[in-house]
This record gives sequence, structure tokens and C-alpha cells, in this order.
Amino acid sequence: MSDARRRSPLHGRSEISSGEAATVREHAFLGKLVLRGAPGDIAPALRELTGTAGPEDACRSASSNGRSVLWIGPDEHWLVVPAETEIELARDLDSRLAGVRHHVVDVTDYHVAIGLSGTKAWEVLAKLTPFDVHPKAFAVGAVAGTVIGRGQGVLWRPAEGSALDSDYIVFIRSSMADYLWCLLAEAGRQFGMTPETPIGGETWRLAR
Amino acid sequence: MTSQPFRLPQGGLVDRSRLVTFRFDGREYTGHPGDTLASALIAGGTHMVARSFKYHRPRGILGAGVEDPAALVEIGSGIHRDPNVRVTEAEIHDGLEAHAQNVWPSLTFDVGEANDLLWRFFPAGFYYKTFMGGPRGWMTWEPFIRRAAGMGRAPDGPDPDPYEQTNRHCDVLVVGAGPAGLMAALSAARSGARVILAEETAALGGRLLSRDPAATHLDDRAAPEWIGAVAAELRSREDVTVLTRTSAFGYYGENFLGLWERVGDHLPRHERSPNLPRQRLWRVRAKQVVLATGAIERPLVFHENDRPGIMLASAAVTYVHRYGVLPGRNVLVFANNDSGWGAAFDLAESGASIAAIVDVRREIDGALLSRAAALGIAIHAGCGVVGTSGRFRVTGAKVQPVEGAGGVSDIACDLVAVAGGWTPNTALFAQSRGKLRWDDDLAAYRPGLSWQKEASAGASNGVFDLSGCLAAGAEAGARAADAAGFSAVPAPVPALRAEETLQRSIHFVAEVPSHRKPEDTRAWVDLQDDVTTKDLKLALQEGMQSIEHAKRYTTTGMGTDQGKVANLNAFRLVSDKLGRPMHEIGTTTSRQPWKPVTFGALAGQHVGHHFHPRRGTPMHDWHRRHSAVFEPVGDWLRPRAFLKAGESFEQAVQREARAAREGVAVLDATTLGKIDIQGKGAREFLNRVYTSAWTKLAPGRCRYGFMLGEDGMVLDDGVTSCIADDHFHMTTTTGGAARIYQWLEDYAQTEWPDLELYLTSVTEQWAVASLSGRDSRAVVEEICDDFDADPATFPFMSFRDTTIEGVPARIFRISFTGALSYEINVPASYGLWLWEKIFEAGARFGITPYGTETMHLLRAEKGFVIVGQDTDGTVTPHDLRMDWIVSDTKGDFIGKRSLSRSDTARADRKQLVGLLTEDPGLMLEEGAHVIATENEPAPPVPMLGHVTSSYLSPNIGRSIALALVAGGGDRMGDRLWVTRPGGAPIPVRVTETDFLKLKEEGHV
Amino acid sequence: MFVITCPYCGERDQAEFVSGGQAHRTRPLNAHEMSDADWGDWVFMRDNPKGIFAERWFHSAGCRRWFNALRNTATDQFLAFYPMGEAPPAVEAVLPATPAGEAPIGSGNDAVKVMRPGESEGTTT
Repeated sequence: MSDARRRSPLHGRSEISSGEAATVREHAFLGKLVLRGAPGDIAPALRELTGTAGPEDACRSASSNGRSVLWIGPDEHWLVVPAETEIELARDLDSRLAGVRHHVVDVTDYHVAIGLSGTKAWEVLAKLTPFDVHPKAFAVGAVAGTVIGRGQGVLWRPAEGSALDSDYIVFIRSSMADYLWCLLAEAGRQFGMTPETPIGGETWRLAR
Repeated sequence: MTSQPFRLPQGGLVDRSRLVTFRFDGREYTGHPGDTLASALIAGGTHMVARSFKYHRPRGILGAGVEDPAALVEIGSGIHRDPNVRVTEAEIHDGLEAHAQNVWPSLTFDVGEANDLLWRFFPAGFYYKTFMGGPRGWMTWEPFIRRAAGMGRAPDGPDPDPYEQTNRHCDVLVVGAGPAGLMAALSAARSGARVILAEETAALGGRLLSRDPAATHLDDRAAPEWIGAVAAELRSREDVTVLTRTSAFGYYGENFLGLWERVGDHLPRHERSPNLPRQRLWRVRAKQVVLATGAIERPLVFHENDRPGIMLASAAVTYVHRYGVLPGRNVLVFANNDSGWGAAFDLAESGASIAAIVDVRREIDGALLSRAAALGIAIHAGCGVVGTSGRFRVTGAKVQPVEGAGGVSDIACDLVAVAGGWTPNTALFAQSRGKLRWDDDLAAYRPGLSWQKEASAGASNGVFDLSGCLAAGAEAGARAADAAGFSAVPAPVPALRAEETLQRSIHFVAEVPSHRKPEDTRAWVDLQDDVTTKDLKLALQEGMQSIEHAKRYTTTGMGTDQGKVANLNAFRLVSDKLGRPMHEIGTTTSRQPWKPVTFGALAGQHVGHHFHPRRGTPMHDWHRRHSAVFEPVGDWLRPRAFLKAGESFEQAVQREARAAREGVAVLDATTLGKIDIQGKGAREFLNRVYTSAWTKLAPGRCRYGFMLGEDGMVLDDGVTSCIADDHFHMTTTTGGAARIYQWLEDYAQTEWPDLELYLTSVTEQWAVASLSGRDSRAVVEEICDDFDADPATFPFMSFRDTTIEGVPARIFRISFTGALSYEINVPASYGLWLWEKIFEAGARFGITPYGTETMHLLRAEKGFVIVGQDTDGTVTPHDLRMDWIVSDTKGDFIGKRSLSRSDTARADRKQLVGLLTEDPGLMLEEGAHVIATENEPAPPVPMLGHVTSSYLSPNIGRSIALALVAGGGDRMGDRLWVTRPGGAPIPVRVTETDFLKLKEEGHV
Repeated sequence: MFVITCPYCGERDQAEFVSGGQAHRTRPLNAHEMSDADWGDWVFMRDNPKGIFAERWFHSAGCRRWFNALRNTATDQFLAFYPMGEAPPAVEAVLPATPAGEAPIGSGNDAVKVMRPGESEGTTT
């Protein structure tokens, strides 16, 4: 499907599951664009190109046909789209928004999307973030940039239209993906997930 | 059962169908599931379990829970040793091994006991007064004192057990599952609120479990049954979390509480689930908190009140009803209020004989008197215990009228049950910064004015009767849920059939009056820290009249128990002695944690492999496979050099550095910070954040720049490229990436929103390979699809977009080495592929990977600075003698005004220069001081500056160094010296910083 | 740990934020006309009141917006959050009676741990 020359930081890791309770998997190479601009200015172009004008409220998302628009900040949205459709979408957005104050940046490779599912998925996540991830507080469609483990990430509850079959998605910067993956496995241990060891064992040299 | 002589034939909530075997101090004991170490030891007839901190006096079991001050032992051994465990809290299990601590050679024969014979010589402040002098003062004495006055020993090695932390948000957190807490949780839960109920002990029920089940019925059910029904309802609700063995140890700001759950400590190791942590820390953010933390009974303070076998009356009753253990067969009850009488009757009805009830009050309620008479109990009203006997267990008490000249009677007993009144447990309330109120009727502090969103209910609020506790809990739970946005009604209070003798008409005395001379009286206030009334009085005499000073001078309440039973008696003594009311004395500060919490729980799962993120680039695996030696740069792990077989680190750096000029070498530069800047004012923004001018930078061109703080000091550096008139790609240092991004957002959002620009970090979107050396052009041309890399047409400080096998790539002609360089950027997922491709194409040139150490050396050869190494936050661009980088012609920029401040503009500031040692093989030490004289003068040595960078350069063929030297720009060619430890200063010559140029011009 | 109400994202844990010090300090546009002393004051000096303090916060892990907050430093309590560019809202705060005094509750300091006779009970809010 995707270009075999590409490699995810989670290359070599495979889905960890403890059955119904919790499953962790990667949504590799999901396309991600940062779209900056006033929501009113960009909505028509969004509707035309993604099928949704974007969420009406802060910290929410809107999805249609596998394309999702996530609210990240008052003038920032993320577009999460099927793998390898992002370059074309970025180009289309730029041309459709010509003359409108906006900014499109491809951050597909910047962030890795890790999906979590299962009845205990929220309890697994709660071990790593001070944000309230209880399903009642963080409902389907919600988005939150927050602290996760010792890093920062974006949490998302993808709705059906996103075509992503995870209950939660964590976007984490590529260089921390392996760290978080293993931390999630550790957090899921209580529910039967098997521990994984992060990259390590490098030889360090600090002194001359 | 014979090994449990004090186990009652029936009663208690222990599982009598099973026998548990454990060892304490070498002796085997048995008990039942549900026993604590204390209840099982008492069942076995053992009361003495420890030695005190200072005098090594025998210490017994005073309490029945968290309040016990001094019954501390070690559990386990080796790496599993857990020191300072309270026997009254530790649950027994098969194979448990406990040991006495702070004793040598044994609990009953302890050499340290000699301290007790010398007690007159160890007054309060003894250490301060005695050990400050001597040849090296405190340092000389401390090791000896530490050895003699001690607690348990730390484990022998790293903790092998897993721990974890988790976060929870809830509407209502209820702390304590006694009658008030249960009703509060029930009322809140029924409204649909998210509720957490945290109970410190293994079972729900609190003080209900300490009552005679035959005499306590709620809705016609015995207490344990009623508790079971409430627990079942709570547990059946999806949004209720019931936690046992969980202490709320800290009440922090904005209703943030720490809970410490002992998940596996009560189980033998082989029965613990490998998937569960040993302990768990819950970080709870609650909308509302109900504090149902109960009350703690106080001991009475009298001569020789510290012997094993002297126990709180409430604890004695708890041992009977909760554990089915009789703590003494012949009990003397000593009280200052009615509740002690209730305990006496309860003990009498449970099979103990009551040797006497001694009460400091002269007037006693008639009903109590007649009941005591009916039970045949001897009564000593208006009397006090004025001494005790017995070495490892009390054998008798001396009783004397507190007033007048009555004689002393000796009464034999094997337990003295003391009832000094009840202190509402306000520790968490005080931590929440609520204000306490002194209540004269209660003879205690209770919650007065709340500061956070909490309410105290039941005994913690000074309500001691069962029906009052149930009602107050229900009310508090409903109110809390209401305040959290739910609609709650108090759960109906169960119909009660219960008999209780509450604390009434208390006569609170700080110290039981006696006819002994004060200097001969040893009456303990704090049993853990060995603080007596005499110590406190001395502290007051010596001027330590603030309660906080008296505490620190005597160490009252400073032990691991934080004075749970001791504090109020100490405050009262101070109040009495100073003749000032309690509210003027105040309290010491209740700090987190409520009780000691293991470091393991505080570290949680963030240990070992999971301690901290180690960021690696897409090429990280390749580096590992090619013998890279790494260094941490921020959270990144970057290759420092790539070692070939048999090569030393230094040799590798020399080889890599030669290749980067004479052949071709490649550096993984992915970690550099990258920021995409777009907007109509983007160019003006760069003009304002950099010192140089950006107005004329054409699309396709790049420029190196410095950013300064408003103080004019160099903050960061990097190359920024013009993609379009309103679109730029900025790079920052690796370590500065996050900070600089935040700093730029600050100016863009707050100072210059009119520039209408957007900043987006793209650091990890791109993988970057930086090629350096004569042959780099050939490699670039080979991998790119139809690309002319001729330096003549693709000039220095420009970039081109191209493709590599169809993959979009951006190539920058920028150099941090001074050699011919190309920096190739591809989307990060292609990073490893690109890297391998470069090595394929470069093989015929012998392409060499190089690391950060080599990069540092190469840039030093060219005289390029590293922000943070050659600068330290006190260095301006002029100090670096890089005046060319500061534009005088453009408008304002950050830091501009500061560059002309009188101090910043001084000519004699430290300036960056090159240093060449006279002996070319000698390398200077980074950080070494530069001085103006051949010999190091006597201190203080006048110093000119220091060496910032120093290397052995293969391309220059000698050692080179950069240094910040006062007035360095005017010292070219001067001879200076650089100090070194243990040797004569090294003579050096001051030069310009571009060593490659110096070599070219024949100066080196 | 504070709960900080980001004007854009709502209530969040303090861990998501970075503090940026004193607010409402406008960068002078006439720096070149300022004396060294005045400029030095602006660069290096900050207010440090015991009482209401306007300060800047950055929602680093969230929307990455800078915004302002009012905090009572006498009780370490946030009073208001508002976007950049807006004037600080009017707030009520529990303040010390004298500059060197203690707020009547909230600091946890010695002088206010215990109530005086006559002080009324209940809650502060």
C-alpha cells in the first residue's frame, strides 16, 4: 500500500493486545497537515476538500469519509487523512485558499499515531496523563493536547467518519513514539498486555 | 491455637479457619488472615517490639492503626527489606519475616540501652550544645550519633518491585470509610457522581469494626453485615471506585490529593500477581472532598508512661472486637474522660479483669459509677498513675491522688489502658490550608474555616456519636455531590441500636500531676523521638517559646509518625507552662505526607527503561549497528563518533575530521530545531528577532543569524532560508529548539500580532544528512535525480528543491565545518532510506559517518562558535568579535538597545579569541583559567578569562583552543598563560579564531 | 498542582503549561531614546507583589497560546484567566491587611493556621 522505502519509528513493533481489555496498535503513515487560519476563513475550503467544515467547538473534531479535522487551537486545525493523500490535499488547500490568510504544513512524519482500544483503554491512558480521559469526560470526537508520560501529545477520540477503528488515538512526536509505545505496554500490564523494552543499551561517552 | 494464648475463643473479623505462620525477631508466631502484625503478636503474648530512638527504651504497641508512634519494625531482608513498618498496620501472611530495628545485638539485650542510664545527660538540645565544638565540629560526631540513634536500615540494593502511578478525576473523593465516610460515599454515589472512596486499612467500616458487634445494630443488622451491604452497593456502581489499603497522604492545591495504595504488600511474594504493581500512587483531582478521617485517642502523660503494655484504651477495644485478641488479662484503665470507662466495661465484658479504673477527675457520672460497681471494678477517682513497673511489659502501676497528700497504692496489672481524650484527625484538613478552631468542650482542635472545596464529617469534625457520624456523613456526601453539579439527597441514616460511652466532661491535663520532683520525672510526650515533658520545659526556659521552635528544639512530633498522638499533649504543655490559651499557641504545620510513602510509589512506572524518553532519529538503528558512541543532547541521543574496530574514541574523531575535509563525511543533523514561518510580516519578524538584516534575502537563499535576549546576550543561532517572500524555514540549535519556538511564539502573539504570521515546528518532519568534504558534491549528484550541485551555480548559502528517486528533497548549501557541504532534507520516514543511499553512493569515496564530537572539532577549526559552549548567557555578538552579524542600519531588534548599555559596550569585556599553545602537542583543559603571568600568583588570582573549546586538530596539525579573554581583541599575538591543576601554567599565544585561515596564511 | 483555565481549551492541569512571569509589560518602542537606567529597569526588573499579580502563561502542551492570569500570591490562588490584549478583569481576593501581613486564610502560614476567638466559621467561598 504505502511506499516501502518509508519507515515508521515503530517499525518492528507489532500490535499488543490483551483481548477485550486493551489493544495498542499503530496507524502508520496516516496523513497529517497543520492548517492555520481563522475558522471562518477556512471553513468553505475545508468543506469542499474534506467533506466537513471542521468542528464548531474547541477541543472537538469533525470527520467525514476518512478525513478528519481536529481543533488544536483557536487558529489551528489538524487534518488527519488516509496515508499518502496529504500531499495532494495540501496542494489543493493552498490553491483553494489563495488570497486568504492561512498556512498549510505537512507534519505527517512529525507525529506518529498510536491507537488504543478496549474496555480498559481509558485506564491504560490514565496512567500516563493528568488529563481526564474517562469516556464520560472525554467523549467520542473530543481532542486534547496534553502531557503524556514525560512528553507532550495530542489525544483524540476518533468518530466513525474518521474510518479509524481505535477508541483513542495518541499523536506523539516520532522520536518519542517508541518510548510511549513501551510505556503504554507497561501501563496495560495490569490488563494482560506484555511488556516491551524501549530502545536503549547505547554506549554513552560523556567525558573527553 | 496454643501458640496464641491471648486469642479470644470467639469474635473478631479474622478468618479463624486458616492459620498463618510468620516470624518476628527469630521466633515463630501464628495468626489468622485479617490479623495485623500487632494483633498477632499480642495474641502470642508479645507487646515489646522495638527500642526507642534515643534512649533505646523498650517500646510496645500503643495503638491499633496508623497512630502508633513507635512500634516500628523491619519486614523482609536484603533488597526486599522494608524499614520502619508500623506493626499496627502491617498485615501478616505466610512466611512473613519481621525484625526488630535499631537494636544490637538483640531486642531484649541491646547495648544502646546504656543511653537510658545516662538520660540526665541527654536533655533537649543536647546534640546542638555538645557536638558543635571539637576539632571538626559536627562532622566528627555525626557518624557515631547516626549509628546510635537510628531507625530501620535501607534495603541492600535497588528495589526489584514494580510500582505505578495513575491519574483520576472524580466528582467526590471521600477519605476514610468509617460510618461517616461510608454514608458520604453512598449519598454521593446514588446521585450518579464519580466517587472515589479511599480507606487506609484493609477493611471498610472504620470505628464500627472496633465495636462489640452484639451491641451494635444498624437497620437490625450487625455492623459487619451492614458494612457489607453498603460496600456491595458501592462496588456495583460503575462510577464508584472503592480503594482499601489506600492512604490519602497529601492534600495539595486545588483539590489535588495523593493516594497511596498497597496493592500487594499483604500477600506473600509468590501469591502476588506479576501484572500488578506492589504499590500504586493515585493522583486524584476531585471536584469536592469529604474528609471522614476519624479521630485519634491521646495517651496520658505521666512518669514512666512509655512501657510496653501501656496502650490506648480505644486500641485495646479494637484488638478485642476487630481481631479477637485480648491485649491484657488484668487491665488498669486510666482516664480523664468518660470514654475510658466505656472501654473498661467493654474489656470487662470481653473477659478481662479490670484491676482498677483510675480517673484524674474527682466528679464522675453516677451511671458510670454504678455500672462499674455492678461489674465489681475498683474506682480511683481524683487519682493519677504516677509510675509503672515492669521491664519488657508493664507489671504494675503506682496510683496516687492528684491533690492532697494521699499515699501511693501499687496495683498489679499486665495492661494499662489510657484514655486521654479524642483528637479529631485534621491532618488533611490542615494540609488543605483550612483553619483550625480550638474547641474547649472538645479539648481539641477541629476544622473551623475551609479554604478548599472540602468538608469534614464525623469524628474528624468533632462528632463522636455513631448516629451523629452517620448523619453527618450522609449530609456531607450529598452536599458534595450537589456542589459538583449533581442532585443528591442524603442516604437515609440506618435505625440504630447501639450503646456508647462518649468522651464527656474531659479534664485535659498536659501532664498528670504527681508528687515527684520534676527533675526526677520521666513522662514521655513523644514515644518515637524520646521527648519528655522535661525536654519541653527546658526548651521553653531556653526561649523556644514559639511552638515551631519548641518542636524543632526537642524534636517533638518530628519522627516518622509526625506526632499523631503526641502533638496535642505537647501543645497543651506549652500552653500551660506559658499560661497562654491554646489558640495563641497554635499548632505545628501538618505537612504532606500524612505518613511515610515509599520512593518506589513516588517514582511509579517511570524507572529503568521507562525513566525518561530517549529520542532517536530515523537513522538511530543504523548508528547503533555502526558502533556509534552516543551523547545525550537534551533528550536526544546523538552519535558522538563512530568507532572502528580497535580504534579509540580520540582516534575515531581524528579520522572522521580528516575525512570531512579531504574526502566526504556525513553527519546526522536531524535533531536541529526547525520552524516553518509564514505570514505577511515574516520577513520583518526575522529582522526583529535576529541581529542581522533580512530585507534583501531572496527566495532560495539562506542566512546565518544570532538571536539575542533583551539583555543583548546571545541566545541561539542558526540558518534561516527564504522559501518565498512571506515564507521562511528557520533552524535552531538542537537543545534550544523547544525554548526558542516558545520564545518566538511569545513575540509573535503578544508583541507583534500585527505581523500576522504563523509559526509551526517542523523539527521532526525532516530527516537531515549533512555531507562535508571535497567529494560531497559527487555523492549529492549521484543520489539526486538529475541535479547539478556545482558550487559555482549552486552557491554557498542557498538551497534547491529536488527529488531523490522521486522523493521530494531540499538541499541546502550551508556548512558548519568550513568545507564544501550539502545538507539534504527528506521527509523523516525516508530518513533511513536516504542515509543508506548516501552510503551506497559514497562507498567509492570511502564515505565516513561522523558524530557530534567531530562536528565540534571541525567548526572550531573554522572558528565557528557553539552557543552554550563558547557563550554562557553573558556574551554579546561583539564579545564574540562578530560585529558583522549585527546590522546597524535596520530598525529595532531584540537586544539592540542593550548592546549600547555602558556595561555591554565596555572595551575590556571578555572577548572570544583563539589560543595556540607554544607546545603544539599540548591540549588545554576546557574551563581552565587564562592568566597574565607565568606563575600562578597567590589567591585571589587575577583571571583574564577561560578556555571555552579545546581540541587536537588533525587538519591544523596541532592543538587549538577558543577562549573568552578580557580585552582579547586587543591582545593579538600576546603571550598569556592557562592554569592547570598540579602543574605550571601553560604558555599560549593569542590569535584570531579561524584556524584554517591562519594555516592557509602560514601563521600556524 | 494548579488547575489552569486556558481561555481556549478550558480547565487543564498545570503540567500542560509554562509560566512566563509578569504580564502587561509592553516592549518599549522608543528604546533608543531611553536612558541606560530606564532600559535596564525594563529588562531586568520585575514586580513581586504579595497580593494580586498579573502573569503570563503558555499552554505549551495544548493550543500553544500565550494568555494572562491573575494570581493572588498571598494565597497562591488563581483569580482569573484572560486572553492577551485584554485588560485584567476586576476580581475579589483574600488579601493581607498590610503589605507585610498574612491573608486571613489560604497561605497555610503560622499566623493563620488557627482561628482567633470571634472569627466566623464555614467556608471562604
